[in-house]
Amino acid sequence: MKKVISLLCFVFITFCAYSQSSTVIDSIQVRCRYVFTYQQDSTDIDSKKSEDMILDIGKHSSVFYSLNLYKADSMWVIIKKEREKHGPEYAMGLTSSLPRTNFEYRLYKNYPENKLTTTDKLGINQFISEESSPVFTWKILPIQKELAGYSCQKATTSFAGRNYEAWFTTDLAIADGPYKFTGLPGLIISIADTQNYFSFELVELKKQNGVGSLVFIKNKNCQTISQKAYTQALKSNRENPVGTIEAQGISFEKTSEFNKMLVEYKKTNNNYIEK
Amino acid sequence: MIKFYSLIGLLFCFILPVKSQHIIHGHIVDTAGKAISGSSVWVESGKNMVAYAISKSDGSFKISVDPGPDSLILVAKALNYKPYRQAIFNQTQQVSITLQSQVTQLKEVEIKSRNPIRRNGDTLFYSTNDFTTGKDRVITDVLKKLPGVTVEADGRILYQGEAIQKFYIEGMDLLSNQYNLATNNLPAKSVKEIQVIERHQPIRILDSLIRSERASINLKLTNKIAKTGSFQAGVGIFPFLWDLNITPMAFTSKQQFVASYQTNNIGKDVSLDLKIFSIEDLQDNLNQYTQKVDLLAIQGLSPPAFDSKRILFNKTHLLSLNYLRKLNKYTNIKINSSYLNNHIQQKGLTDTYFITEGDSIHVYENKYNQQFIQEVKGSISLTQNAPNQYLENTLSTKIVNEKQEGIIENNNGKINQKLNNPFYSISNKFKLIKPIGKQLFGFHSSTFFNKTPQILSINYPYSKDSILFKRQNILFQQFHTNNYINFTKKTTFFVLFQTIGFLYESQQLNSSLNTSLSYSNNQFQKWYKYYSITEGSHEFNQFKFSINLPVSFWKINPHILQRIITEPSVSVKYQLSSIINFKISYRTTNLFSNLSDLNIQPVLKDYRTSQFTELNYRQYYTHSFNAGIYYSEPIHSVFGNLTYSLTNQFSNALLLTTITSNGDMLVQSIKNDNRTPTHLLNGYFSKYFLKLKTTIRLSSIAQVNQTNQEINGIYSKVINYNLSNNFNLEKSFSNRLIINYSFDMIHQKTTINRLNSGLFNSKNHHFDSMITVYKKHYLTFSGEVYTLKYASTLNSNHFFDLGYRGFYTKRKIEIECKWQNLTDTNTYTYLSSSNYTYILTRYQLRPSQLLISFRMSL
Repeated sequence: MKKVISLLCFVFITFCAYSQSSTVIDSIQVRCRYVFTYQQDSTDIDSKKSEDMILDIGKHSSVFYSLNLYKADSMWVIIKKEREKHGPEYAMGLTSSLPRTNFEYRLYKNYPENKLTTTDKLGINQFISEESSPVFTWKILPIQKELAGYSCQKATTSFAGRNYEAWFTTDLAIADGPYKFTGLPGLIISIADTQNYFSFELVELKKQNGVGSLVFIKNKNCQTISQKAYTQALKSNRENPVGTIEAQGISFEKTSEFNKMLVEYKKTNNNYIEK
Repeated sequence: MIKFYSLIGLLFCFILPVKSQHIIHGHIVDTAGKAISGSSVWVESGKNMVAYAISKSDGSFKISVDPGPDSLILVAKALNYKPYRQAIFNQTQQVSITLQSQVTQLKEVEIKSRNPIRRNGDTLFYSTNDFTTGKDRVITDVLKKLPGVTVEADGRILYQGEAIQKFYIEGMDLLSNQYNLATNNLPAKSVKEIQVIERHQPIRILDSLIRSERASINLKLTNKIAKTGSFQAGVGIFPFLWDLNITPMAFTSKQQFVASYQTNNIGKDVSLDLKIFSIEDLQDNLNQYTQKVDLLAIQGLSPPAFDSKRILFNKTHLLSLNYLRKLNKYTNIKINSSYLNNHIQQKGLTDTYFITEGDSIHVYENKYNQQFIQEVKGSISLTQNAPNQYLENTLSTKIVNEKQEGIIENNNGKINQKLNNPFYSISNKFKLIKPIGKQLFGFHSSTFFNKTPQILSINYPYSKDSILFKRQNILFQQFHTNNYINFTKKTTFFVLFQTIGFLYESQQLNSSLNTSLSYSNNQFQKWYKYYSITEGSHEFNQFKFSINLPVSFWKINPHILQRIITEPSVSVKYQLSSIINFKISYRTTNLFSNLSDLNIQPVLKDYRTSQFTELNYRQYYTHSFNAGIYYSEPIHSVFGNLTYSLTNQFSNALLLTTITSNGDMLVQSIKNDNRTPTHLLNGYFSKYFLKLKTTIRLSSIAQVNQTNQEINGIYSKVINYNLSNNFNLEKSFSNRLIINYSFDMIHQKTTINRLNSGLFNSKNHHFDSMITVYKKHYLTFSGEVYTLKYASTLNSNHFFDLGYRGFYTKRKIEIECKWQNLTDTNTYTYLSSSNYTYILTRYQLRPSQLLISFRMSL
């Protein structure tokens, strides 16, 4: 099932217009790499998977995205160039080697305006949704430990139906963190929910000193929707993952084997960071 | 002292919880007086942070502190500013903070991969021991758990979400992407370490030129010299059923060996276990040309479109041997071979109705067919993967020794058919990639020789015209070579991909038919094709254009044809909005049929069909036009599309079919321009109901197809109408129970010269459910009902299956139990149709059967 879906998604990636527009909105001061570990199936601890996520921090904004998403986007540019140089034969192999990600969102935080802008791709559709940053009520605990070479302080909060424990460092006076988390007086080095289904851990931090640009990337046919509509679309997409693919005219034979795969897919993909 | 204060403070908190908080507010500015936003401000008591704030865009902040300690330390920090620290009294107050610029010395970090994963350059090392738990039997179970590695349902391995490029064992590519044989059978305990080589470019010459983002996997074995493998066995009843798989393996530093022996009679198609996970070299896939094509046949029984488990009566033995030897640093030689012994039986009844104008011919046949296949396949390949060139040469051969036997009982008695249909093929594929100047050129050459000598003999125990025996011999030989160079050119407007090549093919046909009269054919043809393929694409705003222009000069000897053929294709895509897009395309293709279809004198194709032609070449030129509108609105989960296609096939042949009253058919093709149009309209709609957790899908296909032919001397326009509708409903009750129901309705109608000549309706219901009993233990239940209505007859069939699958962690055994076809439905009736026939088939199915199987490591 996943194979079918991912294969078709891949086909669509190649078919869909990859025409993106990028707007420079800031310059990157610090680039952080977090390992995001998530458990797709709450009943099976072996279903844990991980992906590298990037938090680019600028002067007054930040963006959080999957490293594979970034790679796939930039590889598409490479593929086009390679095709021009070496012909379609190599493009074939390169297209199939586009990294896959389970997270196609980019989260842009605007610090002064307290705004969170999400771009996401559901099936083949691209969305932009804007909201005011979620307000986190942090409780700071008098517990400290060293993580990733920084002395960190513990803090707890709850968000979207889960309780979290975070470690942040005042050595880095950046009120930001992975995913939507923000609002502590220092960068979040590590954060995990109390059931340990989801965790983000900092594994790399590099100075950029404004060398790179923080860009807002959006596809040409992006649709701006409300936060409520986005949440609804997200939920529908989880439950009905083949809908978007079928809409493109590819039909699945409803054989029992396929049904089993769909059942298996849903059964093993039941746990999401935002309930 | 500070501790004392904080203790007091805590006490106060408990004693005087209602006491109001102190508020510290103020501004943070830089030395120029400019507000600093986003800086961290907090107060410490002792070493602990007691309250904090983040400065706003105007630099202001507000901290509420519980009245506790008398004095606090106020700290303000911002990126690229010197930290500010100041002791203050714990009271409501206003403060002004000025931060001085300073390049913050950020402490850069990179956490080294923790054990049990090590990193060395682009390679990750996973220690197998740390990832193996009790229930892991073979290496695929461990691969599934490695961070970053995913194994898909069919066995394909992904790393960081991308399919791996190569699968090596001790650095050697033995199985050429047929790695299921290794991953499903290599015990986890035999592997010491799994290495994931990120950014692996398997072709060394491309290493510096083309950055590969794909990873490859290499298994390091526990012992340098290893003997290992796995074992699977299943038994069942009614009749006695077996399913066995033994896969031993051996590895040394210079040589590798994997063997597999598989046998079953449960209706399992073993060839699926040798699945190849590769999409490389799709362009010149020699496999499709070296497939066996039968020129003669025993009267067949086409099985319904069911899973092989339900219809295949088999006794299969498969032996696969794979061996690799390293010759030097860059070169290795590899042998992959297999032997298949397969005995397949089919039983069934067919009622064939020939639709002719004004006449009705009906043939009833009771069939029992047997197929005995012995197939040997072997390939030897040499790969040189050096830094300055890539060279690969594969020589393959295939020998199929096949016999078929068929017994037909019809109204007149019994007919024995015997077919001897072997096939021999030898092929070679060569590939060289070399840089010439700055440009990389690819040189490709593929060559094959196929030989198809077949003999059909038929015994008629009854005799009308005193023919008791017919024998058809046929020999078809084909030599083919295709050579091309490819490279790329860029213009300002288009990116052009250019291929230039030459194809030569020689074909020879010899046949002889011995009946009361004897017919024979001795023909040959030589094909020459010089071709150029230019492909271009361009994107413009919401539009995307692609053009493909193959131009070829064809010459078919002796003096048959000489012409230039173009096969242009154009496609345009227009993205109206994120919800709606349009696609339009126009394609043309040209095809010449093989000489094996161009016999001048009759060839007996099967016991009641003879065929011949007056044409010396048969050409099919197809134009197809496609248009579609696609709608997808995921917010409300509404999806749909509507597509239309018109295909016009032009050929230079018209079929004249003569059908006698006992069903004997003579098919003659004559020179006559002929057009076959097909209209196809396709609609689809789906909606997901979030609250009901239910998806409904509706789809509809309407097709009209017209063919022209002469049947029994009457020029006939045969029009087929086809309408099929599908309704599907899927509902989850919880994560433990999910059901799926679908309903299909098919109407089919055929007219000959506007006269209705047949109509049938079929309705199918399909039900599936899956229940999780306990963690890794599942129960499945499914049911199917098929009803068919034709003329005034109504036919109905139903099937039920029950299954259980479980993993027993302690003993590392996987057990599966299947009870198939609960109601013991042993025949299935269905209708199929062609241009002038309807065939009603009663096909014998596998009876109710129970099978228990288990798997473990050697």
